[in-house]
Amino acid sequence: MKAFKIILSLLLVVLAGFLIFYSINASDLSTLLEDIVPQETMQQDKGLQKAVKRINDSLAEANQDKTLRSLNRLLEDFSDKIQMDAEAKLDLFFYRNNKVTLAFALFILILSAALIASALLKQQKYQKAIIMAVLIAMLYSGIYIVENLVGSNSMLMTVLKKGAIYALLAVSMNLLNGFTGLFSLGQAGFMLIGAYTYAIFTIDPASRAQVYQYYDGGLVQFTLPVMVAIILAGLAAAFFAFLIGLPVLRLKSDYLAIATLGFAEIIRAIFQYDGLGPITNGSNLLRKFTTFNTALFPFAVSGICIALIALLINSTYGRSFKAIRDDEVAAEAMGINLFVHKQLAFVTSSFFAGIGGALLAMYQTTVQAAAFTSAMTYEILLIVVIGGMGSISGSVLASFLFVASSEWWLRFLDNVTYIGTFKVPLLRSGFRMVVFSVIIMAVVLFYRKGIMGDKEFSLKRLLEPRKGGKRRG
Amino acid sequence: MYDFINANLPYLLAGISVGGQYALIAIGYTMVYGILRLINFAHGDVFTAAAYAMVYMNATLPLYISLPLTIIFTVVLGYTVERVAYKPLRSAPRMSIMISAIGVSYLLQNLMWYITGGLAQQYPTIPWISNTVTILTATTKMVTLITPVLTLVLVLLLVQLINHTKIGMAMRAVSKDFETSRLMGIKIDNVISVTFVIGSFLAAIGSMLYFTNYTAVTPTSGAMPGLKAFVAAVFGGIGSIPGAVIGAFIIGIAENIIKAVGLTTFSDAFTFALLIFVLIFKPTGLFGEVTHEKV
Amino acid sequence: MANNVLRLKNITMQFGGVLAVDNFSIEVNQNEIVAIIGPNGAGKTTAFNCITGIYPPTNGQVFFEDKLIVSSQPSKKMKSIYAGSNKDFPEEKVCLTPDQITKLGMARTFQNIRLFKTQTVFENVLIATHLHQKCNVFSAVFRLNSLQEKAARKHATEMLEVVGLLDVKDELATSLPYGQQRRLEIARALATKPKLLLLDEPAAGMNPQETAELAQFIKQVKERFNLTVLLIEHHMDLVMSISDRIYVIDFGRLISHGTPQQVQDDPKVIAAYLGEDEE
Repeated sequence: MKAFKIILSLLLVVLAGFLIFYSINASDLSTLLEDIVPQETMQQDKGLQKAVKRINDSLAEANQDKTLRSLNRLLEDFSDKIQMDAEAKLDLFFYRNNKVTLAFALFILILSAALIASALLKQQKYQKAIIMAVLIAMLYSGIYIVENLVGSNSMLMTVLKKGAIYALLAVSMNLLNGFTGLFSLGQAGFMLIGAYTYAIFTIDPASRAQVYQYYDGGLVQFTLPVMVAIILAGLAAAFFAFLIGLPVLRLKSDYLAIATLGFAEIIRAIFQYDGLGPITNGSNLLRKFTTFNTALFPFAVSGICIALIALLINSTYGRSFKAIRDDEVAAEAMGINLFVHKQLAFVTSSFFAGIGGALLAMYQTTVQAAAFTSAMTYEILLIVVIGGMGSISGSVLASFLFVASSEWWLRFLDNVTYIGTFKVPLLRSGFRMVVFSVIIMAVVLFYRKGIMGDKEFSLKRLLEPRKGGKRRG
Repeated sequence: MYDFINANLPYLLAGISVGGQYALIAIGYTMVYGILRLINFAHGDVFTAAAYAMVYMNATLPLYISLPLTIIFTVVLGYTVERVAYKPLRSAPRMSIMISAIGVSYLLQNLMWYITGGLAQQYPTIPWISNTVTILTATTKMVTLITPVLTLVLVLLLVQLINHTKIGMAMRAVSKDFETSRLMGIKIDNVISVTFVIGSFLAAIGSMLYFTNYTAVTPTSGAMPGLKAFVAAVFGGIGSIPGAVIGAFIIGIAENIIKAVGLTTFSDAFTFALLIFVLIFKPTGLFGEVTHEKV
Repeated sequence: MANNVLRLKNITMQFGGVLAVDNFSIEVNQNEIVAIIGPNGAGKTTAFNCITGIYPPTNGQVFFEDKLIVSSQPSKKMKSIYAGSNKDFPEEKVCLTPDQITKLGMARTFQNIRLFKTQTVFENVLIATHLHQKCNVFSAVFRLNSLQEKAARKHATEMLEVVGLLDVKDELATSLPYGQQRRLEIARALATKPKLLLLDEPAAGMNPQETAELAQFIKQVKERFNLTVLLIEHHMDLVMSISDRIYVIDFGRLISHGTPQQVQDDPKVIAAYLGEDEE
């Protein structure tokens, strides 16, 4: 087994080497052009000359997209005049899919490293870590590859981006509601704080006057780097959570729910208040702040945040949270300070909700307080319930399912459809959300535990034959 | 002095009027909470559905049919929601049933959006209560005067029902101790259904009064009034009907005073600030009772 | 060696119009096993709850190792309906929370078993070791406290071994049979490294053989960990066999106190309820 793994990994390294070699080689487009466009043909055809010149110009500008486009046009318009042998075809393939090939090569290198590590480090915990590393590498390189193949604005990428953001929001809510048992409905308020904090500090200075046109250009006149702004967004939300938690966390569960709901509404009113306009732009929307263009960004940020939450939940403090959820009185009797731990859960959850809010702002490219209603909190709560309260992987899975269903898979229900001349009844705008709500009710009534219940996703359990008795996974 | 009254009378009247409407909704919340310990998040949407029912029915039927039909529709809706979404979860942990209520609210809103296409509908003008009327110097609709009176009448009738009928006694027993009442042979299902029927009936009346004043009906029209009515119920002491009514009037009046002072953006936020204040300093509200958990 | 571990002074608890505990004063000394007995509803668990800080008593004080941990007098509203027989109102107002009291060295079990339902046997005990771990959130998240975690796990394992539940450590706590659940609660309380152990009806629902085993167990645990034990019980054979002293409470009031023999012979106690068979 060990030898097999090492041989396989060496083969993979060789494969990766080939891919990298060809990718780098093929990046010299001018030589390629010389090979495929014969000199005599070019001298005769003015159109061909112009096409080649266009390509060379874009190359000089170092504009990758334009170069690719001009190249594609050349190949289409003059397909009969170009000489392509096998080697040229291979070079061309590598040139066009350069980024994808390199990403794939990188992934293969990671895979081979994992295989070598797996062969050399036999312990269980290392094996688990290796599998986790490979899965993560697969996820991220997969996203990169798909995005380059399918295009950043396609439905798939939209779903992935929004899904990643909702995954973070759902996990942060699950930390509070599912793991600590604090039924809080204030998520939207903290998302709002995070979104605004981020947006305010990253608005392009040149556009500030225009965005804040009713407030003389606004109070904040400087810009912070993106990562700083995101962390600041989380800290701002956490700070307000701390203040709100002081009076509110003493309340019993129902009352906690409505108190947090109330605070979220108050926050929303404050952000729409005209008097604070110089900072928040009142009831007008904020725009022209830094956004992201690749799906890797929200995936990376969400991924790191979710990893941190998972580390917290599996730590000493996480166990205390679960104890508080199961039986507050007993937990306190065992020496756990209820207030400190509840505050910790509340503040941490809100920190990540703030970061989620910032990501949401970046995704939507505009931010407006009026949109952060309690309905938003309910949606996230429903996602958490569907995934299973007390399961991180459940929340992540449910987020993607939720976003995919509501944005994509169920869209056909909104379209007026005809079979021949027969108009299919019910199918028109709004039906999608109705079906969706019915599905959610079905889950709430019949599958109360959600998809994952309170267990996490485990490869081992998936592959293992059914065993009764022991719970652990 | 005269100028002061002159300027503020319309707001005061509006406050009493909307307070009465909130009261009718708040009673539904407080009764359901008293019996099931459930915050019926869907109640506000039932209130909105009543308005839509009136809009559609009145378009094709004469008033003397559409009015009672709307009430019947609302009552059936409230009853159905309870049977389908809350009854199956009676033995489940408290959070599950509250999440179900949120789910029902979500479903009702989406359903209303789908059926009506999302455009605001105009509430039909109910004759007589929509007539303009002048009090001292303020011009307002008749409904503003009718509401507090009608509310008080209905509340008195309800209190009579609760204190002097068999079903009322059953309701009081169940809200005191659910398990024991069941063991004593009280038909819990009936009591709960009656509670929802009464709550929905009052919500239907409330919606007729409310939307005569604020005539634009959208799927989310009932969310804010519902939330405020709920705050009123908590403020007055959840489980107490007189408390809910008094709380609702206080909120209605205070809300309009804030508008009078010019801080309109905060009129909604005020309600929540009040809620939080109450929860922190007197969680049982004005007339509520303290319960002890047995350790 | 009779230094005072626990002292209750005039503890009175009144719920609305109901006087649950009236002027209850007891003393527990180092390494003693003291029992509180009395009919159902006599106020025993209420007294426990006042001692462990779950709610402050209406009136009275509690001293743990001569340190004042609970001290309270009736509120203004309560004063008008106060029915306690003792009118000495202490000046100080001290009310430590249950977790603070546990950290001082007092641990308890519950009459209605309160295990952490979604956790395994091992995790239930492990949670009780947290109070001795000194680490902040960041070190916990980034696993900088791995040494402390290891020590905690070792301690939890030891506790499970002591009660004989090590072989079921990965089972869900609620899947255990009733008797084992009771033992688990004791293991959990022991894991907090207490000096004083409060047991609330530890033998409830046990047959005579199990009760005898429990009696032996309590004695062994007391010796091994140098504990002082205060217990509430209905099973007379358990109480009589291991207690050094007994307090008898009826309708919230202390009606007798002494060694098992003295209490057994006290006519007041016999009148109150002794002589009626235990469960």
